[in-house]
Amino acid sequence: MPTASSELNAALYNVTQAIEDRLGDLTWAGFQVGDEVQQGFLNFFFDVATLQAFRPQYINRLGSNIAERTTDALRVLVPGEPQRLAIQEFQNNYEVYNLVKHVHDTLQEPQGKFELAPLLTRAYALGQYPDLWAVEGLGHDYAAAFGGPQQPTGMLLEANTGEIPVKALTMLHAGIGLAFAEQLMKTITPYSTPGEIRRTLEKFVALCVDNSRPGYTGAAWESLGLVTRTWHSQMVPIVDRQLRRINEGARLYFWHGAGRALYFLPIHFVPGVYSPWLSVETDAPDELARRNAIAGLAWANTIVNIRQPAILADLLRRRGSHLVRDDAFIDGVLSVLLMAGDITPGDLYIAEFCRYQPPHSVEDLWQRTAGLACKYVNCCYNGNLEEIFRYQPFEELSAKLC
Amino acid sequence: MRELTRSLFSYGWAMSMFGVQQIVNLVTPSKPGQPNPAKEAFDHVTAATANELGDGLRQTFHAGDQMQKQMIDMMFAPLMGGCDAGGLIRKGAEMMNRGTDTVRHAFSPAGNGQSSTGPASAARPSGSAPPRPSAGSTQQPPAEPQNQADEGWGPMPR
Repeated sequence: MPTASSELNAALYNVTQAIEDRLGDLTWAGFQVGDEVQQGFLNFFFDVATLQAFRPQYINRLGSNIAERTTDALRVLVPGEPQRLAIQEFQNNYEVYNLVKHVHDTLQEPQGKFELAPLLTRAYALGQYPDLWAVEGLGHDYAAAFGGPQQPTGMLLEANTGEIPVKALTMLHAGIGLAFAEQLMKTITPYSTPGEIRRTLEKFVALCVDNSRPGYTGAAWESLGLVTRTWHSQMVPIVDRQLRRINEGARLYFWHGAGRALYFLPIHFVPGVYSPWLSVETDAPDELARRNAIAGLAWANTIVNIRQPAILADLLRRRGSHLVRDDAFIDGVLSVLLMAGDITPGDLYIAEFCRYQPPHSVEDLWQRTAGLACKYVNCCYNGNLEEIFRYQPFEELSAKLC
Repeated sequence: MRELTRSLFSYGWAMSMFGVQQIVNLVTPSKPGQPNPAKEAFDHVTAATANELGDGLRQTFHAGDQMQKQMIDMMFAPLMGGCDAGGLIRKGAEMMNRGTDTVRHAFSPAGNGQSSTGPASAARPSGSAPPRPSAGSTQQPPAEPQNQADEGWGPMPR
């Protein structure tokens, strides 16, 4: 039975979402940053009021968070190589955002339904690196244009797509997953009934299965995490709980996508406010979800900055000791190399990445992560490619490489 | 309490950023043949807000909204060269009637202005806003290419 308070919360949530829908890029980024900051202050205020903030555990965590954030802020504010790398990282992120957002104009997509093959040719003509993001954006627009009175099926099956390069399939599936998630997540709120939420998520899971080629469904499922964490962050724990009942496999992909989303959130580009590497530790409700989220974050961090391996080396310098605690980080890095090898065999940037000589201070950490992943760079993957969109224990992953 | 405070703060901040966005929209020339994006955005948010009102309040809102739209039309009529004394008197009388109806409706026991927390909205599923199709509806997710294109990818790769 809905209470007056939950009705009011629901009304405020719906109107806030309607406003968010009509914000531009910059104002949305401003909203996201300001909202996260004020929520942080409000949480702290309530923690003080309820005396939780005086627990030793809380004080310890707060202290270490402040210390880490200060280090991050100094990295950006003090002139030098780390500052240059931070600026470069921001530029890379912005470039990726533009590539995906403006794919419609870049590839001169026609209105309504379109043939994939000629547009894929245009996407690949953009060159290595931009092609990856253009193909994901194209998958999104293809699904969005696939209108009709019936629930779509077989969208990416050969009968509908015609002959298209196999190398485009992973990112095309990620793209259609984005379109499904975007549409369906708008129909539910944290105050919808559990039944409504469950039915919507079941529909999403089924849509991805019905429209994917065998072995690629996971790439589409993963996008649910990206959409939910970015635009409906309050829904993350609710979606997690429901997916646990509906499809545990989809839940793991969901967390991988949620980790990927953390990398692109505007709040994480404000120095000293938040770090995705701190958020990723606190967001996930269990160890498997945490490892998937870390793998997703490592995946995004590596692929966006693949042309400047020094950015990854700088991350290892700052957080390497945390990142090598388990195999989630290396799973994300290796997944990028395997996927890039599949999408653009003999990729120029991958070859340069693997030739990179890190500074002496991080050489050991580099060898234990990126260096180890590079040993498998020319291997073929003997599993379904969807599996690289979720965390797999390193032994399991490497056993599938020939 | 915490959740409600958070929602209120989020709403307030979203409204502030919405104001900034509409200033940008107002000074940005709209594409030929298309309405100004500010008008479209205001209409969208107004509709979303109106949908959160209870039945009684929503009727009051619509009546008041009509009344103020007519007032604005009357104010602009002389500027647009459409000044007609008879028409103005007729519109004034219409407005008076509407105003009386609105007040009577708002204070009548059957149609009093209830908020969305009141019984007027009790028939709606919890937390579901009318313009958002329910999860059980037959809406086809990718069936609106035009809307998709309008909404774009938002602030980052989506």
